[in-house]
Formats: sequence, C-alpha cells, structure tokens
Amino acid sequence: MSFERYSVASSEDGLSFEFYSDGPNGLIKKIIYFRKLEADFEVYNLGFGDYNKATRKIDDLSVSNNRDRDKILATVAISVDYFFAKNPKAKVAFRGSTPARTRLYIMRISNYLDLLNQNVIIEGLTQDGWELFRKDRPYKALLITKKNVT
Amino acid sequence: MATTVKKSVKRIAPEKGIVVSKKVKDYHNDPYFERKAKEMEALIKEYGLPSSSH
Repeated sequence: MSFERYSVASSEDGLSFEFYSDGPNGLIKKIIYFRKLEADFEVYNLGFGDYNKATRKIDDLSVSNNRDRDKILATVAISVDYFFAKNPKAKVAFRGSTPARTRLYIMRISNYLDLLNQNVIIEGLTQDGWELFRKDRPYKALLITKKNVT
Repeated sequence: MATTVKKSVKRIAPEKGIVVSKKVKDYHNDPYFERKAKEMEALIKEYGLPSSSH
C-alpha cells in the first residue's frame, strides 16, 4: 500500500524534517522535530508545526486548510519511519496540539492499525495509564516503539 | 523552493522520499519544540511509561 506524500528534507542528524504543504492557500512550511526528553533519554517527543513567516516562529494552532491533511499525515509517518531507521531503540511520544487533533491522529491510526502493527507497537495513554492501542479510544497521548529490535 | 532543495541535496534515501540536507535547521533550541517536549515530560512524569517500555 502506498500513500501520497510530500518530499521531505532531513537534517544530517535525522532529528529535524522540513517539507511544504502545497494547496489552495499556497505553500506552507511544515516542520517536524524529534526532541529527546530529559526525563528518559530513549523517549523522543515528536513535535510538529507550521513555520509562520510573519512571526518567524513555529506554531501548531494555525489551520492551513490546504486540503491535504492525509498527505501531511503520510509525510509525518514516513519521517517517523526514517527516524526509527536511524534510532531503532527509541520511543516516539506525541499528541495533538488540541484534543480534536489528538482525536484525528487516533482516527487515522485506527484506520491503518493492521498495517502499522506490522512494524511498530503503539500504546495510548488513558486516565488509568498506558495500554496497547485500541481503535478509537480517547487517548491523551501516544507512544510508538519499533518492533523487532534486538 | 524546489531549486533550494535540489542545491542542498547531499544524499537521498529514495525508498523513503527523504532528502538529507545541511540547510535543514537544528530545532533543538527552538522554544516551541522545547515547550512541547516539556509538556510531554510532564505527562510521562505523571503517568510513567508503559511497562513494556522500561
């Protein structure tokens, strides 16, 4: 199965990724950064946002409306795959900037769970703690680990 | 934009559609990503990590 996605540029250390969303509202620079958490050096936070030209800052609350949501998510997914290729023992934690966006990610993961389960273990954070990802549950955050690490 | 990317190509992982480029910034000290990481750290501090992750 293949998904339409954008070309991505990665930094040499494989932690920063940049690409451009291209749609009715023009080119919008998207940035992904895997930042190692100080509390646990094997866990990286997956941060994702838009570069705002006016403020020269990154934010995650803008709604670009470029009608390419799935293409963007597929691009982020391929960046995660690339990150794991370089950091197979790492764990990637993430959540949306709003509860609605977290729900969107959960819905998309639910749609492709069988496919994703072939390569990664996905866990979701509930009020009671972490559990193996189950479709369409209201998780606060998600944690991905690559399978088959020796 | 496309020209910029082409000029900065160092090596390509074609199966991934990823271009490695020196022009991609290091965002480690970016306040936005720092804040996001701290928010996640706070969650992990509160709930811990899955037992499979220890």
